[in-house]
Amino acid sequence: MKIKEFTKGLFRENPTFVIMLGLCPTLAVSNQVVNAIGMSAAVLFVLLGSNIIISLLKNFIPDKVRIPSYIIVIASFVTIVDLVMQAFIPPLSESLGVFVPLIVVNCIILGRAEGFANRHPVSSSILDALGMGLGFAMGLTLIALFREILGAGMITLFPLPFDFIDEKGQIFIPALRDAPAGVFIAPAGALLVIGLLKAFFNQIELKQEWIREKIRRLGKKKPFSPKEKKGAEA
Amino acid sequence: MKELLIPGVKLFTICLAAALLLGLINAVTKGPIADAEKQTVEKALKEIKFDGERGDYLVAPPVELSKEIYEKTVLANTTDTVSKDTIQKLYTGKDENTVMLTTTLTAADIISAAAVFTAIKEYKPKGAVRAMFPLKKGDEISGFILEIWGVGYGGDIKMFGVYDKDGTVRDALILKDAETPGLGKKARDKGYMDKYIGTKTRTVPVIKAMLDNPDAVTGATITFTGVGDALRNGSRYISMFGENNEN
Repeated sequence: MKIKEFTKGLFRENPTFVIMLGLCPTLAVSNQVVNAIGMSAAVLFVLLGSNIIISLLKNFIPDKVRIPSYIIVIASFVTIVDLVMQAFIPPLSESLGVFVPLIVVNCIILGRAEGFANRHPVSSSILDALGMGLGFAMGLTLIALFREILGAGMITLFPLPFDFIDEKGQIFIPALRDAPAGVFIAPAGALLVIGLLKAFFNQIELKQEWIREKIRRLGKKKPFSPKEKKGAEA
Repeated sequence: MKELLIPGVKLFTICLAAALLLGLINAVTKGPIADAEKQTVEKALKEIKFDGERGDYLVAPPVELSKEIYEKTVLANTTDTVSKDTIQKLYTGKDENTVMLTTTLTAADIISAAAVFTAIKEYKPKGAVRAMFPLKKGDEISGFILEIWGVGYGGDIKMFGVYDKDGTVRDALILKDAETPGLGKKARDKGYMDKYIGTKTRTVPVIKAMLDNPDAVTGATITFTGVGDALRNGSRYISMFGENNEN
């Protein structure tokens, strides 16, 4: 069991900004922060459940029928989430709509089943699911924050006992509320925000790499060449 | 043979386990899901403004019905002769495959037909007008609350519309929608329905040009048309048996 299995999903292999998996639901439900949080919770639950079961059954499931078996396991967890949401949080279930059943085909989940859980022990699979799930949640919530603030001039959360949140769980941003940039709420806005955020994170990544190389060059006291960099990474 | 059989049996075992688990979850959540739906309706009925005394929930008799459903679902499941007579009196053949409501109806006719449809458990209402609550002032029917359905940008919109006996819109409220937050979702805001109040059939605004302030719905035209269409359909439904036809 390595803590690395957990942290990789948060940043280095973040499903939204690095591996860029599961973008369909990301585009669709990131129009409100509350939807993003609800969707993230649903994905985290399904990912955790399917990773555990698939890891447990890895020696039982024959290779020939592994994909249908994974889909059945994933679909079962998705149905559980869907029914529980409809029963106990109907407003959220309504606003997420068809995207809850569509978690079945979210490539993060099948990707982790096929790429990780079916060849690692349960403990690592749990950490992997938690890391990837939280990484997805962070990405989705960040996109939703940008989109809702810019596109609707508000942030929708849950009803909380704070003065700045009204009884519907909404926080209004004064100037933007009167003249929001509606395009950010529309599907095109999702692509714009994802693209800009991806560019921002790429920039950070490049900068970090540059700093690392600089430190290494200083240590070796040798001029830096691309060949050397390749070797160092391998 | 064995190579095929073992994976098959294993896959079947996984399916069986999944089905059993889901059956269990369904049994647990069935009650709360039905309760949640009931609560939404009750909350909406409390919020919506109407005059008079509200009657019970009734399934709205459809304006048109395919002959197959009419015979196999409606007539076949109506056992008592009085109810059967009521239905047969109100529906006439439109063409080979469809029956439709006769055009000269009284409010009392439609309520008795609605009672028959409500009693048929196999009948699932579809279309624009699906249910009704008659409103009474004294002994007289003063209007209706209709459950109406429209099509918005994100999918179906389920609404309640309050109508006078002649089909004039008095109030409206959305129960369920999948509209875009910040745009179409504004249809749930206070005051959105004001532009429909007092309109009936042809005057219910369904295009922007019919509004005094078209900018109010900019960015959510499809939602506006969806809501307007639903309300217009409701108004037309009522005016079939409204005051005009009663005499």
